[in-house]
Amino acid sequence: MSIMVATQGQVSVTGTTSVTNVAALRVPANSVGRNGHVEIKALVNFTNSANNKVLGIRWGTTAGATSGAPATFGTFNTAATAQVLAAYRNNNATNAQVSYNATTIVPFGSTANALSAGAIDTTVDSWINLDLQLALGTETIILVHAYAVVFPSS
Amino acid sequence: MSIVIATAGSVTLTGIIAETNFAALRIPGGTIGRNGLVEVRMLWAFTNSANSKTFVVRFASAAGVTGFNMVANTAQTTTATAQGLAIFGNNNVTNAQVSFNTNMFAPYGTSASASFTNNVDTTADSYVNIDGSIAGAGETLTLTHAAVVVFPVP
Repeated sequence: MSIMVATQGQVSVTGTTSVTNVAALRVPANSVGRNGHVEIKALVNFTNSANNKVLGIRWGTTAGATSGAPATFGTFNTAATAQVLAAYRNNNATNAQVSYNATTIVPFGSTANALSAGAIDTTVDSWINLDLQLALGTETIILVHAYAVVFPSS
Repeated sequence: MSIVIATAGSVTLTGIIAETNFAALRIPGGTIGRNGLVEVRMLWAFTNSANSKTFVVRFASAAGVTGFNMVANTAQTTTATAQGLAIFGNNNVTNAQVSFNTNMFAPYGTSASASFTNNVDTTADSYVNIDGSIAGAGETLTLTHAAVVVFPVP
């Protein structure tokens, strides 16, 4: 049975160009299993300009992390809203992940990039951290809503 | 409530060019329902070359099926990894399925092709068969991870 964890209300970032954590969705210990996977879907609004706005989705051992792997990114500029999807899969072990290594704006497709790997211990609580970053601090990016769904498999 | 059936470890094809079954993920009889949905989520890695690598999903009453009961089908050449999604559902009866007829690496969009249809009896055990082939026998095609998620609907 799948497990869903969602944000509660939108969070905006403006006035800084630093990477800012806006959500940490807890993945309960042992909920993923050796071959389970986690899907994260997010809706964002942002200033429509040529400057980059980035949503990073990281799986980490701590809540609020703004660095570390596995991580996937969506970079937005001359648009106003976006919907993205990221998927992380345990790779026949509870502490090894593999994921597609391309923009979360186009989550299905093919790329010349190698797959991304992670080493998060999923036998303890872990977190899907959603981080935002602006290239120009006077602009705005908003995480409107995000949810992670754990699809367990032993 | 969803039901997850996943692969356990990667599977690699090399040395032969015939279509080969990589995984047969069993859907227990009676789980889908008359209007339930099945998502097949796949992560692939392969030789980056001009030779074609083919990716196929087939839904059948038997494990290991190649050559018929298509759900999704596509080919790639000069990339190295891919993430795919195939979706099919029962069409208001337990023995008729329908799916979007296009590239599994672009599962949302429009198509001029008619939908794929199958007539698998889902009141009995059925199988999502994930197959592939390589045009160059010296190359490789790896199914890194796959998961079938069944969303039952009566």
